[in-house]
Amino acid sequence: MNNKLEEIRKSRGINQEELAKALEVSRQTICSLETGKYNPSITLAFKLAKYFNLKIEDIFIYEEEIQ
Amino acid sequence: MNNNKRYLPVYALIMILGAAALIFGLISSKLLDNSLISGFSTGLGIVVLSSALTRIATALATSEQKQKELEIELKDERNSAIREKAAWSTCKVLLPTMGVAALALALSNQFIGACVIAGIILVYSVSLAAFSTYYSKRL
Repeated sequence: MNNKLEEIRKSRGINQEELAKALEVSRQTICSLETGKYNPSITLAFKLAKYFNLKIEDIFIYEEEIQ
Repeated sequence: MNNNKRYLPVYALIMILGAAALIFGLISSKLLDNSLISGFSTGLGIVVLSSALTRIATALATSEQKQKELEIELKDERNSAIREKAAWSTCKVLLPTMGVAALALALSNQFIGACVIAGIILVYSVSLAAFSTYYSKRL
């Protein structure tokens, strides 16, 4: 699953450490999410969406939509 | 007060129990003829005492901030996924390895060792099936 997490995070001027702390996850999780190596649980996806005040689909792009 | 510090009285109680078991083991080794009881008591005492001391030292040395970081690391969903994958991979490696070890022991006429490993494989397989069924119903 692709995502715009890095782009959104940078546009808000937040670093990975701050985001990780706010969501109570490790910095490595944020890093893996941004590189697309790890897909988040629905809970974490909702937390991210809530944190950025966006919808989940504004951050994450389901692969089928790209194809 | 962080979580670890909250459990300090419990750790202190466990430490006292461990020390008591260790002292009993040491005294009984001098007074009793039964070396099994004294050996078991001494061993158990050392394990319990050292475990409790480690936990007390960790609780006292770890700051609240560090404790929170450790909790986040432990509960982190990616770390949980890593642990699950690592455990499953270990299981896949360990079962055939133990099977080969049991076979090698049986072929070298060491039947007790082979039976022990075969028993461990059985417990391992049964618990794997039981936990799979349990979590299949829960999740």
